Amino acid sequence: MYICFTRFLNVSLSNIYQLYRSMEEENVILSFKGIITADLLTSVLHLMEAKMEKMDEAPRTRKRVFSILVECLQNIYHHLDDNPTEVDFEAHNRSAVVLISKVNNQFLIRTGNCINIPKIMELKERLDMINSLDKDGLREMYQTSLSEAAMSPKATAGLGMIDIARKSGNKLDYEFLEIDSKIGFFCLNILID
Amino acid sequence: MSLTTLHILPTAFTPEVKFDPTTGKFEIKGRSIPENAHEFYNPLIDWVKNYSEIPAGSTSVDVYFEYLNTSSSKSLMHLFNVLGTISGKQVSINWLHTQDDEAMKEAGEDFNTIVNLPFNIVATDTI
Repeated sequence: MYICFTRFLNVSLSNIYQLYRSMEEENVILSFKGIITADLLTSVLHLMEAKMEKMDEAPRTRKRVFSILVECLQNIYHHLDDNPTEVDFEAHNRSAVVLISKVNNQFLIRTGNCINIPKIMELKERLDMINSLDKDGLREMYQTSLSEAAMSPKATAGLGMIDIARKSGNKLDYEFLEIDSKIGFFCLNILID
Repeated sequence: MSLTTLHILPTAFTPEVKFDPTTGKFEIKGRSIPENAHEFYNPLIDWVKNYSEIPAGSTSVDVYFEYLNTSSSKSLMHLFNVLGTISGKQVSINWLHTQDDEAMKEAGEDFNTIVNLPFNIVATDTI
């Protein structure tokens, strides 16, 4: 065996292989890390749709995964869009990470993005509320939020998260991490039945 | 002032729209998943506001979505609410979905529950 390497930079070259291996082991279909812009969002959705077309999935599953991904990405996009007026959200805090993988025949969408610490409580309460409801409860919450949203055009009323919970058929798995006194990190796992 | 037919061609993320003010036959078909749906739907809502002052004898709206995001659902609520202001004339919504699209059927049922208009939810294979 012949191994050859040239190293100019002070960065381990094998890191990328380790990253590749772990993504391979986790069956990652698509991953992205960076600032979520409207253009990027569009590209990721096109890419995911093209990838799923090549996979041997029931059209029903494909549709559900795609719909949930749309809501996830647009949630992050709008959430990050809301922030600059509040705490100064620096550029590196405006990026997000998204990973879509297939685990034991189930699709898993994982997202991570920065969030202002003061916003955490409200989001946590909403997620806990969503997780406490069954199918009928979610339907009722969605319908109430949708009629309220029609009254006040600006309010998003958290429709996206309710929709994700309804479509995935699973609880929303989440965690908040503290980066510093102002900024936290919101991790969300969505398993799709 | 008379309204002219509103026709918007579909894009990858927005539906085709055909509103004929003379016949009262309206159609919205395709994908509706833009991140800021109000930018797409507000001109439609404005058009329908004008239409509601001089509506046709009856208005029938065929709605079919392959994909529908929550941002679009909010705008649709506005649109349906404006249609609901038409008084003395018949207005009905035909919510079409493919046989196997349970999610889109549910989306129609959600609207049916909260919108004050006659709603027909129709499973079809010919769209």
